[in-house]
Amino acid sequence: MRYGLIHPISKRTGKPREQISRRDFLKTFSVIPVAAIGRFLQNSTGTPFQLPPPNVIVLVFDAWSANHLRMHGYQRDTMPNLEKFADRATVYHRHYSSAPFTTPGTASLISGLHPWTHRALLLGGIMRAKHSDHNLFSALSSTHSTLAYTQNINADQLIFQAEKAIGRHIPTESLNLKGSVLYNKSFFRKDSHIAFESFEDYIFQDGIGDDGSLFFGPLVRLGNLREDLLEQIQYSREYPRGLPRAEMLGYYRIEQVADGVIDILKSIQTPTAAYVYVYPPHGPYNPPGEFVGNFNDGFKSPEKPIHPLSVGHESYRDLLKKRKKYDELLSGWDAEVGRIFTFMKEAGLFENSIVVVTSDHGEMFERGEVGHFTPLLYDPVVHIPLLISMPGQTERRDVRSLTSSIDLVPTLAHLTGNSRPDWVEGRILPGIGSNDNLDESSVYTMDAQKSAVFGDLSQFSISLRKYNYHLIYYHYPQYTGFELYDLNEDPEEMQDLFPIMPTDARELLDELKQQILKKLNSKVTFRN
Amino acid sequence: MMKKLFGRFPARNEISMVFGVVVFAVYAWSIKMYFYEFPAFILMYGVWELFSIFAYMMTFALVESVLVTSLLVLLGFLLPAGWYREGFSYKGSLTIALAAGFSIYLQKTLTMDFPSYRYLLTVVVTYLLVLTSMIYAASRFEHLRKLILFLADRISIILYLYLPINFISLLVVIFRIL
Repeated sequence: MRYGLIHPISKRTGKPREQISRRDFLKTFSVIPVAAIGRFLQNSTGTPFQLPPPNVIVLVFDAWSANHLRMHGYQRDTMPNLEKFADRATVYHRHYSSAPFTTPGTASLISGLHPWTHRALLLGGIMRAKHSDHNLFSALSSTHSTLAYTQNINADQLIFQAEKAIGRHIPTESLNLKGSVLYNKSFFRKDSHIAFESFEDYIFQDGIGDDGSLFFGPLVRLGNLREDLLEQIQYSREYPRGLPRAEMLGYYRIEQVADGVIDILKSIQTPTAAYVYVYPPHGPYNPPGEFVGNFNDGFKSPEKPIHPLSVGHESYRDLLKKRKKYDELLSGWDAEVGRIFTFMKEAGLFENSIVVVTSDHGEMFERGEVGHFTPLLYDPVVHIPLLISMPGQTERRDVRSLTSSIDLVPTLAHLTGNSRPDWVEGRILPGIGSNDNLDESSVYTMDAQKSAVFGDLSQFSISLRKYNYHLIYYHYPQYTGFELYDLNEDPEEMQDLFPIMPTDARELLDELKQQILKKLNSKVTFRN
Repeated sequence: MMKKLFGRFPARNEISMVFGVVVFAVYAWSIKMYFYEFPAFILMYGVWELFSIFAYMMTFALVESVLVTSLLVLLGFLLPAGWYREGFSYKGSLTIALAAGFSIYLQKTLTMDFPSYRYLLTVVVTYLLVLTSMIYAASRFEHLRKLILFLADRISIILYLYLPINFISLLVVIFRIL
């Protein structure tokens, strides 16, 4: 960072200086103790930065489970470049998303609100109108210029909702090979969400279900499929398993995504708050050829019974295969992440930016389920990575307190010298904020993708992480009930402790029941 | 010269009859799909949003109907009079009815992979053969031709219902995007 203390041009002679004068040296020397104290105070008490504020760079990787990272105890070394980045960051070991899929997960991440408050509960939905201005961008807009990009069309709906506070909104299809959508065209800019619901989700479907347009629907679909085929042929050697594909946006190459992220980062001018959300490692799990077969190690995760709410009903064998493919994609994506980090290092972004790397939700390969569009709330689908690198940070810190994705907005507001927005429900993260001990916090995750977003939720899952426990409640016609796991003793969540209910877990049960009645459905009667 | 040029277009009443058939097919399908999606929409949207999506759908259906009809009129203009312009109302109606059937078939079969060109060629050739046979049969058998025209005439009455709704829908879309 240049503070302008030593001018390259001499005021007296008007020529470039070759040496620092005694006066300049004394000036600089006098500032050193102040800077050192400031740095110390900032590190120890979490006092917000003085001017100029650092950039805020939030990198979000879609469907990224913490349970697949070595730093969180996974057997496979899926992301070595990320591990290297962790050496200069604060690593949150027990960080949880607020929901198991994109829309509610992203809404919570950018608003600092629980899903039951923002009510963006269904895929492609948006937050309640009264929360339209409640987002990361408005929280930082008084100190930063703001920039947002998301490669996920559903998350883009939430970005559009927040667009008033976003200085630069990069089109969602920018990092894909040929994708094109109608809702973000200037013509529909003022009504993008209804245009999205009408065109992308109804008049032209993405090969799933019938199109609302009788004649143009199949023609557009044929055109898209032909383009897809040509792209697949073109990149078949590079991507032997096929190209990865983003919903409704078509194929992309992960190299191109990383290049795009680098271009976005190149364009930011300090101080900027940049929210960059990319599709990998979201399925389909198609890495470049060099990463296929990376994990032929015979590793087997424990076999777990198929859950009554499982939608996929995948066999154990298929689950193992898909887990391996996901890990391969992670390692392929990690190579690109390494490139992004190298660029950031060379561009000095680690010196003048708060860099956050996280996800909107996890991914699971167990109990019959693959992916994340599931009512199940087991650890792999809600436990997500969170790494935060402060400007100039050179050492790793490990935080083992329970934290939630709703904590990010208040934390970033605090770190950039903004006031904590009064709407947020999250807290300032321990480790870099003023409160280093949040062990007592209750972290909630919920899913209600089959409920109407208004009033009481008819079908939902909700989980509470507190102490060493993970308490889950499922409320569906075909399956209702609690499950309790001790993640210290049983990290794979194999043994349901609810029937024997340890005494120290009773508090969680009472708390969760109260929360359900207060926030989700006031008429629920608990059977067990 | 201009008179000769305009003389190549099908008669206005025939165009409006075919337009009625196009509108019936396009709108019926759109409304069917809207109600298919409706249970998902009502989980998320209030009445105004539901009506707005409906308005988008109707407006798009109007654009689609106008374009499809224009294409048929263009065919009537370009092809020799005996092939398409003479008897435009029943030939156009048959074209649309069969195209709607094939289109629905394609919607059901085209999913995630591009089909082979052989398959696509088979679909197109089958469509053209069936269409030619039907047109030939209708031109030969007056009863069949009359039946087609009777149905097209009945169907075009729906225009009186669709067009006012469409006018309101268009206003709603304009209001929303401006």
